[in-house]
Amino acid sequence: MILDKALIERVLDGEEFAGRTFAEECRKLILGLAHGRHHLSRDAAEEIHQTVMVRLLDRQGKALRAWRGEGKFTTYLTVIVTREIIHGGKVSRRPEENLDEARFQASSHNPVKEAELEERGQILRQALQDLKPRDRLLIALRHEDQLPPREIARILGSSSGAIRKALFDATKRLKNRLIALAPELFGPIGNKSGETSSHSPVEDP
Amino acid sequence: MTDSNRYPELEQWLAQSAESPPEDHLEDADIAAWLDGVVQDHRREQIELHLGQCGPCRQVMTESQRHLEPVKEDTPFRPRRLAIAAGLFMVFSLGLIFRLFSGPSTTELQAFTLTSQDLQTLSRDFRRNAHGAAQGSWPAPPNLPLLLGEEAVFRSSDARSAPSPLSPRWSSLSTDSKGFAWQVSSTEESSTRYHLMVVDAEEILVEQATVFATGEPWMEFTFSTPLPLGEAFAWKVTAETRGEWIASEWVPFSTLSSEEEAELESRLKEGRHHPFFAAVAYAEMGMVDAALDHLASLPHTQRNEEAMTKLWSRKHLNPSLESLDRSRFHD
Repeated sequence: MILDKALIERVLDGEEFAGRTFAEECRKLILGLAHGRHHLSRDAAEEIHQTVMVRLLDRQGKALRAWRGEGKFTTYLTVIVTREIIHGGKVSRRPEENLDEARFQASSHNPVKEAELEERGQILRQALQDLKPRDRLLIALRHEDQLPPREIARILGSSSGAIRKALFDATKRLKNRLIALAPELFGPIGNKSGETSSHSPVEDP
Repeated sequence: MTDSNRYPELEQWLAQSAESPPEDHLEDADIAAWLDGVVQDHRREQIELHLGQCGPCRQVMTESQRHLEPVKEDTPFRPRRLAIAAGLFMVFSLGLIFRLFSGPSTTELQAFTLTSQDLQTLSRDFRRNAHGAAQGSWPAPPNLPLLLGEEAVFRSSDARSAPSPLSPRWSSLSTDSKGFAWQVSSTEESSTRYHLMVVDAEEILVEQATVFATGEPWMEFTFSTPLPLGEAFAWKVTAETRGEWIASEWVPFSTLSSEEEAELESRLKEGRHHPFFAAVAYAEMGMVDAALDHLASLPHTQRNEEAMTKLWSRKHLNPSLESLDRSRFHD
């Protein structure tokens, strides 16, 4: 790939031909991502291109220098473009606003329920913090973002079967931790409708 | 699969007790390094810890990962459907050939264009396939090969035996040009016939023709009905060699209106002694890709570098030139 560390260093040294090559290659990649993959209009894709290029090169190429040569520059550029598209409102953000609604519905203006909700939230956050980072990430991807194991496997570069197993183990560890911290609040996890704890919670939807 | 298998209580509690995402977010370089799997164990744990807590960073990570998958090297038509469509087309073409010609000679150029009714019937399958493919493997408009470079260009299994489109390439097809030209396969095996396809910006097949080989190293063909002016298209040519069809890349191009064509011709003539003038002329006509293509074809000599500097001095003529110039770190 032409966008490698050597080229970036030449760009940062102010070499004109390298700069031109870099600009052309970035343009192809950015427009390809924005227009070809995210299906933005050509104008919107051009706008993203401009913004990302300015971001890369602004302040003596600070963002360009931030890439430390680890991995591929194209991955770095993809992340920058993706963040720009998401923050620019071109891709819908996750429905964080629904959280308030969920809390409101759960409490229904009942002070006792609100207190219970608060307590349960604290314990849940504590239990999540006690998990290993990889388990926490698995739980978030599966139960917060509601991605299927197949998708998680693709993201983490693992097999679907391994992810199912890891998810099952992580969920089980979270469940055990929650029950240990507050059995009266978290006892019913996975036990309703005659479910047993051996039932896998991570099958594909 | 029912929701009970997904621990709905847990999902609900997580939603109800979700914390606000951290104020500090991961650096894009960290996410990229994590996606590439090149971070040390300690740093990896830190990144994963943050990703587990921060929805916005997780969204950037998952969306980026989704788009990091390589573009499939595929034609706009899925192979199986293409095989069916090609089979239908061949059967239909053979019927027409036997009806129209009593044994076509392969040493003499013989071309036919299907009637509009035939085209309509045949293109139904192509249209359906193109639309189907648009949902999956080839979602982009025909100018994607230009935008993505070689990633999105269809490469045949054996590039040597694929025909190479010569004209139009990236640029415009003017009304008096001789039409579509391509170089035949570079292998010794000669193709017996070629199938030319033109799609519009919506990936709809607008023209197609079968052309029999002449034995010449290059081929050309002109449709009897000119393409609409001032629009964007892409074309490719597929060669049949020993019963195997091998396609070229898709080449985007556009058609000039008669006024634009006259203006371009005048500008090109005016600056024919200057190596960069053609690029400027193309850029001024909005054909930035043709301009870049022209620039790329020029040798990097000192004289050309100086002339290039002059070219950027005319950046006000075209926003794209301006953008490129800004990217060259010149205030």
